[in-house]
Amino acid sequence: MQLIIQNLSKTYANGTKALSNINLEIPTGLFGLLGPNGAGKSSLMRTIATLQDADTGSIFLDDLDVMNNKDEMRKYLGYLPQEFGVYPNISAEDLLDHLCVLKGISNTKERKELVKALLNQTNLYEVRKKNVGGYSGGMKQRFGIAQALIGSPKVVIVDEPTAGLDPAERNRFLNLLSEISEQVIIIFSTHIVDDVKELCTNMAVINKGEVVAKGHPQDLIDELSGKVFKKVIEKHDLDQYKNNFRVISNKLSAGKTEIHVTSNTEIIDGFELATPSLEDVYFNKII
Amino acid sequence: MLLRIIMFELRYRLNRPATYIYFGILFLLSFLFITTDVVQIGGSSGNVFRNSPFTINQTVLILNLFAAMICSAIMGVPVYRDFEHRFHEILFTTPITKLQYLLGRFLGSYIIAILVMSGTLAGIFIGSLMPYLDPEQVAPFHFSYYWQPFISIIMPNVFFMGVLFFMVGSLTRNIFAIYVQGILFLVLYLLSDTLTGDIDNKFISSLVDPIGLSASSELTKFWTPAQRNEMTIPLQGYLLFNRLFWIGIGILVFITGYKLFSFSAQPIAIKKKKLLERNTDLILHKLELPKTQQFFNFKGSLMQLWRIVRFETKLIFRSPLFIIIVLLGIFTTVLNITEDTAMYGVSTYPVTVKIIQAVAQNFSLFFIIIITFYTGELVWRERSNKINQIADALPIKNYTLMLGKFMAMSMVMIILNLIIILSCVGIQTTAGYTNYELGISFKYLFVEGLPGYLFLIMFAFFTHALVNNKFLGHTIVILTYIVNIALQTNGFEHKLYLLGETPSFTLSDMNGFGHFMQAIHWYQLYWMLTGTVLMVIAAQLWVRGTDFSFKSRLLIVRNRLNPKSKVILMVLIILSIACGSFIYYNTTTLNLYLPKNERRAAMADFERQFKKYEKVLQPRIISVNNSVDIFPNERKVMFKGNWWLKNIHTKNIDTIIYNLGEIFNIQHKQINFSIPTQSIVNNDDFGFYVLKLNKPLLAGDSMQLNFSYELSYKGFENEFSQTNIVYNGTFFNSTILPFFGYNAEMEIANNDERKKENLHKKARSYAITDSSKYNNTYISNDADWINFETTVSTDENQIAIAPGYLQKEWVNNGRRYFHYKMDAPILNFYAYLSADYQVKRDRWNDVNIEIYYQKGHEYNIDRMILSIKHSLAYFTENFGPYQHKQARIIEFPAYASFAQSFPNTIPYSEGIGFILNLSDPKAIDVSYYVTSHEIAHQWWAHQVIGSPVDGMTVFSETMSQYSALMVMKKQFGKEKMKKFLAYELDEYQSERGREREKEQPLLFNQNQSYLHYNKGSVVMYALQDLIGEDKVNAAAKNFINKYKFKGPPYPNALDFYSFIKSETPDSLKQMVDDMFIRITVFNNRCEKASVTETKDKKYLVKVELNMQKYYADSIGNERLTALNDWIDIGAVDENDQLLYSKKIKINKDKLTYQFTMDKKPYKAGIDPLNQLIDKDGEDNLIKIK
Repeated sequence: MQLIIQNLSKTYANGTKALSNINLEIPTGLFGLLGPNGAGKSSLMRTIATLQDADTGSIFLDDLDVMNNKDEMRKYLGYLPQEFGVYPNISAEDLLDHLCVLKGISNTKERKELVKALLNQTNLYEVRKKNVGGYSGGMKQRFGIAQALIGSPKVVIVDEPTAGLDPAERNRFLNLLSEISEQVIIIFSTHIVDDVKELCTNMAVINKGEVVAKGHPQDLIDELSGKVFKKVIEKHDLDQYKNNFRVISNKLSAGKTEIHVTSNTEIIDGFELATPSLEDVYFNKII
Repeated sequence: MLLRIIMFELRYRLNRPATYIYFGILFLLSFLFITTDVVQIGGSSGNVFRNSPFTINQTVLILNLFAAMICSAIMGVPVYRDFEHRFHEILFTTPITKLQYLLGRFLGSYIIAILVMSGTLAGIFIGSLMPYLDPEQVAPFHFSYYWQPFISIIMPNVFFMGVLFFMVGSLTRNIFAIYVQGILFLVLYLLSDTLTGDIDNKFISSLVDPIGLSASSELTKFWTPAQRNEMTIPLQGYLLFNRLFWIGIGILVFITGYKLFSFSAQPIAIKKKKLLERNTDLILHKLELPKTQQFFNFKGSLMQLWRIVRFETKLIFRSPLFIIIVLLGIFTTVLNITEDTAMYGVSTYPVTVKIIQAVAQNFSLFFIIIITFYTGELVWRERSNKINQIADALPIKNYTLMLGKFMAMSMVMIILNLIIILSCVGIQTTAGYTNYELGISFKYLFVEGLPGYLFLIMFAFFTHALVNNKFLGHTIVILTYIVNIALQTNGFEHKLYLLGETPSFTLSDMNGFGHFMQAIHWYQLYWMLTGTVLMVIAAQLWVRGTDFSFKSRLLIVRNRLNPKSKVILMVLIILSIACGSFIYYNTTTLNLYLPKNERRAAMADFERQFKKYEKVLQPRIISVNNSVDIFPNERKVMFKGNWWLKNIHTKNIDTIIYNLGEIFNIQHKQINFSIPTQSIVNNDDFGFYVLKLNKPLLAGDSMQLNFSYELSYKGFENEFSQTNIVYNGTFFNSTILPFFGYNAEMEIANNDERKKENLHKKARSYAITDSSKYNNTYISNDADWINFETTVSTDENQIAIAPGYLQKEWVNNGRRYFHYKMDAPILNFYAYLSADYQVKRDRWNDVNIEIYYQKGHEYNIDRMILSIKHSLAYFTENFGPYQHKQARIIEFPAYASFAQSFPNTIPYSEGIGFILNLSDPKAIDVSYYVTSHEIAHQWWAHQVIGSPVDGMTVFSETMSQYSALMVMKKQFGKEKMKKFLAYELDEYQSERGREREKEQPLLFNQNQSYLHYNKGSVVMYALQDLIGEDKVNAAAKNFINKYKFKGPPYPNALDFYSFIKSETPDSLKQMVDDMFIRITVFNNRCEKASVTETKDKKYLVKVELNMQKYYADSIGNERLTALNDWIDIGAVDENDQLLYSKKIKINKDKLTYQFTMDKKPYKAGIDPLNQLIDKDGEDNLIKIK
């Protein structure tokens, strides 16, 4: 099973170019979509999730023309948007049950079992009778993933699921994702490099609506091998360095500033060769 | 600091377009109100200037009420806004105190709200300057006219509403609450409105009304047009109390709100929402989800559909606001109905047909609120709750989703209708009435009512889908309602474009749903088809997903509009058009569709074309022999007539002018005069025909008229106007038959309307000095006293009735025939009735009494019979013999609510009298009263009748009132009469303020019902108290003896009055003139009353009295005049029973008077029975200290 995105472009009414000629092949497994805020990740995901149309281009799930068969696509879809709310005064159990029906699970007994399993899986079983509106951020996020898993979807799209979660919770959340990723396509977006690093089998970096890099994370890192250099400088020299070098990142370290630069030339004076990380790949692409 | 916050608020608001829009709306409404008739708020009419202080006050008050929503939008949001913009986090860290913050925000918004509300004043002011206004209707500018409502209405109202809305908004910080509190306020307001119906509750009802509308109407309800034009509403009495009360409440609300408000981020919620503490974290099990099967076939879609219906219905019913609206609806409805009194404080039995209509009508406002609001909520549900992205990605078809939501809303309507039925049953049961007739209720609500509401739901769906903006959607839907109303009041009356409208009709016990449902079903079909078209379009426009720019939506629509949808849509549109065309054909081709303004133009046209024939001499009908065949189930009547016409004039007649009413529905017309004729005018549109007699009808000679035609109805009408001939309860009178000459009664009577057609002003009756009019009666100008005979037939199971005595009754061919013949001369004024009647018979002396009534309406029949007996006895003794040997009361359906006296025949509407609940012994026996009044007409109208000049109804209506009052006095006693007369006095004084032209003195009244009935009662009762009942009766008897069955010429009011005057002692003539030929108003009150016990165990009562007498002109300008009147001094006990009463001559305005009595009184003072027309009858008696 494969999701193939071809020449996808979208310009919003206000002139923002959200997607620009996107081409991606997404196989089963966890697919990370990395990019800064406003890069077009959400636009791309919503387009795949049948929530909006593109101006040009196509999306195919194997033979299924997604954009022209939205109702069909929705049958195979699990979607967790970046932000979502719930109906007022409704318990997790009732809401999941409701969503199950709308996902076509007509059999009451099956539905009951599924809801129970989902609640257990996301450890919401104890609070299943409680109003979802009163859930904390993490709980709500878990509820979100639970609903995205209803009806064994073939494509699961999760938009920035880890935002607002603490590191431990984030980890476990991602583990859950990777767990289900064996037979399904999971596309998840983030602007946190670490999310992608450990789990994703494939990834793409999007910036300003364009795919600036795609592939297996390790391959992308390997591409940069021997091209990343680092140096600790005074903070006030930063501008000077930026003028002379391709500074991809800078971060404070013990009161000083450590910069990473990329260069195709072998050695730069005073710089030290760095082992490239996914972060370097990311920053290199979006700068 | 405070000032800076205020200034900040002001600057912010003044930069917001909304502020100007709100101002503009109010400006426009009042501007249109003042300058046009498009917007009707109530206030000015006839004699009252468009910008009179009264009108300004009223306009400001009413707009103030409806601006509650605007007020809420302004006052509710300031604090919410700070929180919404997360400004509070910054704000609360500044050194600003809570008081400064709240007060600053409040005052800033308050100033803005006041400015916005002043839009009304600006609109009126600018409007009154418009050059195209009729200068006669515009008052000169006075600053106080504007300043006064600003001070006493706008400032306090905006303060109270403002504090309330501000605090609710600040404390809940819930946009929903802010959004609805204005509406809620409006709805709540209805509550106090329903209380004002009760006459005893004046103080409370004017106090509890936070707007001050009741208080202000209480102060002004007896104001004459002159006062309305000149006086500003004083800030005193009820109004002052009311204003102080609500300002006080406002301050309390502010203090409470201030205490509750906390400078923290958590709003006060109705239910405390606490975020759940995080329980243990996501635990990793091996992911094992049970296998499930998904169904997306038809059955699966049905499952989804049913789930949506259930889910959405549940959500609506769980909404606290919904429950509040419904409860309020039920509450106000039940209150309205149980408080509703038909006449004289008496209410009817809760018969199902009446209650279900009243409940449905009362609840309709709530239906519309619920439909408008919740259809919008339904469409926006997912987006409002931000679950739209999840929901939109679900595998559910747009059609399924929309249909489900629509069905949910329909389900809500169904459940509410069931609740309505339950309320009805509740009302009935509480009143001890158990004939529930649920079938009628169900049919009325679900078959008649529901489809119209379903269309409104579809329309709201469509609107929201189309504009895709919640606020705009709501605005458009509400605007559509307003446009609908505006269209109807401006001559656009066809229901094909009045959204969801179907013809309205009255349910009746006698005729049930009658012939009405066929037309209604066609309209319903039309609306359902049109609604489905809208829904299909809405499905194409339905926004799903996150991209809803215009361009993308257009693209989506293009994609969705596949051939199948196109075909469905086309078929639906064609069906809708076909259905609409069929309705159009029925209503405008088969029937006459004449909107108000076209009808008016036609009437004007009639007058212009044919007025020239007014003076052409016509023969008089002297003998009538009709054969009338009524076919109730076909709604058809065949008329055949053989009439004799006589030239009673001194000149020969060579021209015959005759008219046919209802010409549109007449077929097979044949009219033959015994003298050959030639047609001169043959106007079928107006049913107006002028013929030339080939040989003149000589003076004193007679001729014969033979005619026959069929009256029947084809198709159906846009609005049911033909309720004369119905399945059960046919009732029509002789105006349906030919009449002669140009009839000035068919001219436009209302002078405002005449002006629009450029016709000259017309008086409501001719001058009393116009002797040329003495030759006609006020009900007929083509006949005097006629001989009458008729045969009438109907279905076998019905009884047909016409004036006269039954000569023969037979059945032939499944039809029942009745032959009636009259033995005494009657006016050319008779009626035919036919229905499936029960009959109750009785006798008084040699007079047969018969009551024809609908089965189940037995309640008051015995009272009617008793009243007939008492009346016949009293009238025969005091006025002279009864001319007939029979007195019949015949019930007819509630399409009209009157009783009317024809010779020996009294049709009496089922709506009045028959179903009145008179079981309370304290109630006024209205059935008895109405019956007596109608019996009195057998003397007063059917023996003596006036010519159509000023005062024409004095010796018909006023004397019938008097006659009934005397019978009632004898039966029920003086104290009961006080209660009755209090209603009459109140009605007279209220109505005279609404007089459109001029108030006449009683004797010269121009058929004004508040004069000849209401003032007539008060005056006649006082007259008999003053000169004696026997004297009045002597005058009456002498008058009847002189004029009965005489004419032409016919007597007038002055002739009648001379008989009264001749029975009046000279010393009282001045007072009697005050009653009859002047408009006299007293202002009498008792200032102080005390009692001391004397040695011989008697009580010496001392009262200090204050009296004024005014003469008013025709528009109510009052002039103080010297007193020289005999007025009662009296005292009553705790139960208002009169203990003492004595007439004394009063000729100065202050008087201290003493009298002794045996029993200790409770109250004492002047005019204890309220016999005089007094500006304030309540201060006549005061409690004794």
